[in-house]
Amino acid sequence: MEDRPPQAAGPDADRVRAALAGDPAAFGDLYDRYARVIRAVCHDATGNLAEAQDLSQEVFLRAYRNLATLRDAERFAGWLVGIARMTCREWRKQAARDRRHRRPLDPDRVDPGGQDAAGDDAAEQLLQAIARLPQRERLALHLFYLQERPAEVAQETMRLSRSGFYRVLDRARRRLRRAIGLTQGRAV
Amino acid sequence: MNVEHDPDLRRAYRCFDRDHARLRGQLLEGLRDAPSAGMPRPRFGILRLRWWTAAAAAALLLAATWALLFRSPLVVYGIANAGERLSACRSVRVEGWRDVGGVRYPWNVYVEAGRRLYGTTISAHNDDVSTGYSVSDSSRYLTVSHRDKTAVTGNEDALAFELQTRRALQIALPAQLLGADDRGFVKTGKSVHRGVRVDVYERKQPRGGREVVWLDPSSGLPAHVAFYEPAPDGGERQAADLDVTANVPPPQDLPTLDPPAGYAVTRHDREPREALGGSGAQSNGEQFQILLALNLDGRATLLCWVQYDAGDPDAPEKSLGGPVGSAQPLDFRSPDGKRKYISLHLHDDPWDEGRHARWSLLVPEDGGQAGRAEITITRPNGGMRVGLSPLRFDRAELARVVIEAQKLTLPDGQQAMDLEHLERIAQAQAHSRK
Repeated sequence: MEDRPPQAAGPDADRVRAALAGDPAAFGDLYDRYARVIRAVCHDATGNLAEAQDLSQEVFLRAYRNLATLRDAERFAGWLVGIARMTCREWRKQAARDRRHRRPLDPDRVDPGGQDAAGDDAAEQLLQAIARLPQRERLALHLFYLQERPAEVAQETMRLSRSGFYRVLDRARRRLRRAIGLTQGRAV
Repeated sequence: MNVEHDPDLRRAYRCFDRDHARLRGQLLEGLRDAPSAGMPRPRFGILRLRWWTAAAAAALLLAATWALLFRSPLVVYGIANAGERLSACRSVRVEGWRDVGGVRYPWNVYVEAGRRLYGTTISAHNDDVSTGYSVSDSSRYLTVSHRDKTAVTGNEDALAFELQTRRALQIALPAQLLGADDRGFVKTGKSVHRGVRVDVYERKQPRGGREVVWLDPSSGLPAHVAFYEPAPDGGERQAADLDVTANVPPPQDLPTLDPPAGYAVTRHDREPREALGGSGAQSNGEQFQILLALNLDGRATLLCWVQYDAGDPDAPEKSLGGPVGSAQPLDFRSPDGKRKYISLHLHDDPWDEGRHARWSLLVPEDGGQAGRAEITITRPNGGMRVGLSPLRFDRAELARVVIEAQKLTLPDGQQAMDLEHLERIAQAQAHSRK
């Protein structure tokens, strides 16, 4: 497990403008801020950590290539989450096609990492339960546990006020608690 | 599990920290070669739709939706047949380095079918390494040796040049970059190369060392290739590192066809007959050479070959003549041995030193697709195996090359067999087998 590196200070907009001016390190700062949330969003779709890591790389690549089309640099986080959702939709469609077209013993299906989700059953079970929550509630949980200033980011990504964000978060936790309780056959 | 006081949730979410530094480095490495973030993508202006424009747009949208849903599933390629896909490209560019004796030398190639050929040369004899380059188009060529400060230049022969570029694209480059076939490659992961997500494949060599191929899954073409070989200390060292791009225009910094200043220049115009010449083998003085092999749209292979005994110049050539279309005792088979070819005699023409250039038509016995083949010749005191990879052309180009190539060996006044004639012979053979 890696320690989280210190994240660069300053608003996203400054980093976006610097990246547009040709400073890749500025895009690296944006990556440090949001890569974990994007991996979590991708994990909701893939259910597999290795795939989520790959897919999130694709999300950032697309974001970098299209950064000049971002109209309001202040809204980078919401724009990025939008790209992640679109990329996940494409992944689901592709995965469905692959299931239809690939033979059972396709050598190209070798999964190199072989690592999955959190690596322990309890954590994996929890992430699977989160993946079944409504989209807004999932994102609220992801932001809360993976962002330094979740309420502020939620304003951009979810168009929620601070109190609105915590209401959604509370709802997500209650729903998650019920889901885990049902799965385990006992109250939590 | 108490999600209210969330230590379990915090623990679960920690998995998204995993490999962050590696992934970050990988992404930023990939961005280095990606188009700049500051380059805006073209946007279309607002269209003012009239009713017929709207109707046409709706029809197009409907057709595109239909095509998307029912006609064109997204293709994701693996390493299988990557060499064949590479050999079908109109141009290939390779940039990188090769290690010779612990020194990394630039190794760059650009080949465009029938139009341009450029390559650096590295030759080593013991510790003596010589570098240079050759560059040519369909009218002129230049070969440069930096060690000797010499250059050879002259007029290029158009057919020789065309066949040379095809051999480079269809045979030499795929073999050098991907080996003879794709057996033994294992997918080991994914990466980002020049801003494109790629799959990474690796193959271990029987005598140590390995080759690693970064394959673009959307095109099925290699984007990057690295070779590793055993090091004297028991580890391994990288022997080559090559970027590969296909169907690209020539690089801006391609050397000109003028010799470098201060180099001694020799002039030599390319002979038309230099178009014929390729692979071969010899055993105890006996030579079997493939001068040319052309793939006739998969129906048959037009083959020009020479067989003689170099150890005994007075030994008579084996007579394989006969009427046009008569069968010859040549046992060509596909590399896996499953497909047998029937060899049909076409014409034997006078060639160098009193020998004959023989033209044959190889027709798959099972009526399948003609392609790579090999012949094994066994003798009481040895034997040899000769492989052939027939060159492919567009049909119009093929019809022209079939005629021009035969004219290189036919005596004056004799007519070459055209493509349709050869196809009729192949078809007649196929019908006679049914």
